[in-house]
Amino acid sequence: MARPERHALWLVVPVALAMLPHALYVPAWVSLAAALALVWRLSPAWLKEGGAQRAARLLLAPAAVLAVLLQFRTLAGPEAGIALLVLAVALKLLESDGRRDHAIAVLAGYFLAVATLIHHQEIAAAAWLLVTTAVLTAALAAGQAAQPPAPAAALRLGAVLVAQALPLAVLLFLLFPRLAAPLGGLVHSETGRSGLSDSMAPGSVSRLILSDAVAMRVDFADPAVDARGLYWRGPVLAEFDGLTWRRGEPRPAPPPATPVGGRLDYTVTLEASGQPWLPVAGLAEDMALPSARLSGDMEWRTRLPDHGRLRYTVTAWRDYRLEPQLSPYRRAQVLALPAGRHPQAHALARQWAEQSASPRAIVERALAHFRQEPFHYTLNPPVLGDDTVDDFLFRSRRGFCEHYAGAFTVLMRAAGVPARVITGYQGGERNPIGGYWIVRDRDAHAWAEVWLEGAGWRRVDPTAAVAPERVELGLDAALPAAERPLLDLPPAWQLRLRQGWDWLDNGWNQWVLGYDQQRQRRLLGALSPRLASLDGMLWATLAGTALILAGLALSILHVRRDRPAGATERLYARFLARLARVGLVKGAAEGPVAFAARAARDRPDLAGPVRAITALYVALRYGDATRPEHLRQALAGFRPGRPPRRAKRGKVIVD
Amino acid sequence: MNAVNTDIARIVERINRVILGKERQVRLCLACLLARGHLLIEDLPGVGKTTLAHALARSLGLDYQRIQFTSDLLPADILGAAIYDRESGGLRFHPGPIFAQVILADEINRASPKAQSALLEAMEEGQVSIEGETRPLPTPFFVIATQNPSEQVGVFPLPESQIDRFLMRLSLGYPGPAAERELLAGEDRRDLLADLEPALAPSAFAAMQAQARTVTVSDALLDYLQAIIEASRRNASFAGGLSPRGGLALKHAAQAWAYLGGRRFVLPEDVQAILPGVVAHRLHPAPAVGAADDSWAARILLQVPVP
Repeated sequence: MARPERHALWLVVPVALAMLPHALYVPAWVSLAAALALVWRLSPAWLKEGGAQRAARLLLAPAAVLAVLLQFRTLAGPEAGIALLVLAVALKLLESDGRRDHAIAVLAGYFLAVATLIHHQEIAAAAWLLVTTAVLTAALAAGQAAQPPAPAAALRLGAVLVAQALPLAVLLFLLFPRLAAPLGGLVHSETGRSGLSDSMAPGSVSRLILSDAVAMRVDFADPAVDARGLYWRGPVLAEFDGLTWRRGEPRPAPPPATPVGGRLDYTVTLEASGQPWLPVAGLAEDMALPSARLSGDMEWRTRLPDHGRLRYTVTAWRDYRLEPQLSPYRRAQVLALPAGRHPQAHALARQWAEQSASPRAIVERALAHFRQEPFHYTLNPPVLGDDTVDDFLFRSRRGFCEHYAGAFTVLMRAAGVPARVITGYQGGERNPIGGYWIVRDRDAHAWAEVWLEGAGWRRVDPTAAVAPERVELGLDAALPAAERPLLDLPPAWQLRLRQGWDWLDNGWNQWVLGYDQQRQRRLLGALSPRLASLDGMLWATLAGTALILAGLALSILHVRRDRPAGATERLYARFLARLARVGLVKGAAEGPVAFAARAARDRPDLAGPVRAITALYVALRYGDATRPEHLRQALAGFRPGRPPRRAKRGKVIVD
Repeated sequence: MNAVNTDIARIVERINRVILGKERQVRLCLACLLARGHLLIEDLPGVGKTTLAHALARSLGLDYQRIQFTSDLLPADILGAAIYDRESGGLRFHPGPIFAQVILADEINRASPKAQSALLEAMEEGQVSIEGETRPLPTPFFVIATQNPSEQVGVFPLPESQIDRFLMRLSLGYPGPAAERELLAGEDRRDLLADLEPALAPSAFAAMQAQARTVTVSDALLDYLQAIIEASRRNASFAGGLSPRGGLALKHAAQAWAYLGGRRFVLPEDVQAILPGVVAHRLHPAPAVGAADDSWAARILLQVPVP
């Protein structure tokens, strides 16, 4: 026999809520099928279904499995697994009626809700999960009642239960030994962002510039550091084919480097980028990240390019001398240019080489050239001809950092000065609330390094010669006014809001998502060295759990003490609850008989049972009666319904 | 119980013949007397205080004396005095009007505190000591005192310690329009009083009083009483809370009210019914609250949740 319609609502709505986030990435047909199943479950047709429909339902289950198999070619893995789970729960609802089914369906809903974490771990996802859990818990309670309670009451119960569970959740989060990889390595990180790439052609950096996404956040040990003066070194591009700059052939060992001065200690939180590059400012003396490796060109990269959010602490020197000696082979590599290309650039470079006394003077000459000739810094450079370097240098003269860095390096090499292109980030924005720096994709930058005898590799930023504002004040200041709207700068209050949110988000990333084995050990170790051990954590978890449960039990007992304890009081409380459901609420200071009189006045149809039950109750509670059986019996048949329609009464009078 | 109910109905009916439209006040007066409490009726002159007291005494079949309090009233005028008796050659005690079952102390706040306290001592002890000899008062013994509102001139307000000895303080208020009309059209109240016949045998009322004391007060109701007493002591609006005597007064009055309703146990509603009369003269507003009307204290205490 089908249970009341409200039970069906308590089944379908919470489960739908748990399914909703999955609709973001499961194939559309899965969402559609699940939605159809839920609607079918709610429709009156479901209640009077015949055998044919039951058979159809039996066929749907294998069909769903088959469809998932066809779509994903597998049933394993998070993607296929979630699709299968969504379909299975939706189908399960179709055959869910009694209490037991209800409980099973809601438990499946919990599982669906937790599965959200595989794809989303942001604050919003956590908040959503909390709400969904409360609603599911309310549904679990509502499904067990013969008559579902009012939604508000059930939701309040769900919220209270979840709130009671929260201390335990926090305790387990803090103390339970962390696994090396959360959720057994199932967790996916968004990898839609494109970070620094290992090649550079005109236009590749400026595409990044239009993205406002956070590339990394940097927390400096010394809060006075102005990150806008720092260059975050990424891939080193030494090979040029006339159009595209690429990383050179890998070298076995990092070159010798000596610190000169200026300590620079910071912690970088790098967002997932799908790229192995770990941007670093200065000469890193120590890099606290086990998977980090240093390449032969002094690039830091991680062995695991498909990383999620990464945190690494760097101990660095701001000034340093890199590779003071250059072997002839290396020298040839960083002087190589494609044969027969860029004749005009070659000619100009040769002229500079002849007129200058030293490589240093050639560099100065080149920078002066960029400064003096009518070069423009723009995000919208005109389309370049076949020879991009010559076309840029001698015709368009409008370009972006990659044009300047590329062309400058070509000129240097043509003049016999070893040079290469570096890409990375430059600039950033300080979050005044958190005191850390945010480096976004739009701070992506390209510059050059030239090798000078005795000095090693020196950074030269030709963009700074054209548009010093870009380096000093950031991208927005450097662009012509007409191009700024491209970047869509928000008004000040929005900026504050964004900074506040970023601060929250960063804290969440650092302390909740970033709470890994290492952090846990460090945090607990700071409290007590014993806690840092596995045994210590387990014992602390057990002890803390016991404490929290004892506290909850005490508080519940305390609350209970104020509540009616005996059978009579409980029965009367039930009576009051039933009357409250039809809008008759007893005032706290109202006596039972006075309330009965009022209820009888408001609902004459209930007057008889209300008076009778009240009389039984007062005799038990205030009189000498001792056996609550009669009250129990009287109450068992008491189910106040909605008041009779007013219209009927009106009709009688009119007639 | 039924016999009691008819008795009570008869009493109420008789009194109502004289005091028009004040059935609730009449029942409260009866409850007060049933609870062996003294009654204070405070109201403007001329609304029927004295008539009510007369009617109560007569209909209950008790013997009664009236003392008109004036500023020159002396204690001996109330208690009586030993006077030299020529025939026996010794002092012979002449009992004062206090030796009656019902004393109507009219306009009690017109007398000097000295005279007032003579009466009030008798009220509390149920006996009087005159010239070294203790004389018991008759039983039942109660005082129905009337007083004018203290704002009027020429009054000595009763001290708080003494006013606490009255179980209830009631006021009658003006009659309703219908009662007023009947009053204007009908006979003289005094004549009606004279015709009023006792509704009870002389000993019956004492028996009823004893029965009222046996009405069940459950633990749940004691919880409620305690909550009210506690609230009166804790609420910052009151200058002082209910005394233990005040608490007992609540209980006894509620028992009597339940008894009047024909019930063998006390309900929270009984407490609520008698509460205004019992607490109005015992609780005073804290200085910060300022002046308050008669029902102010009851309004606060009626907010106490029923356990």
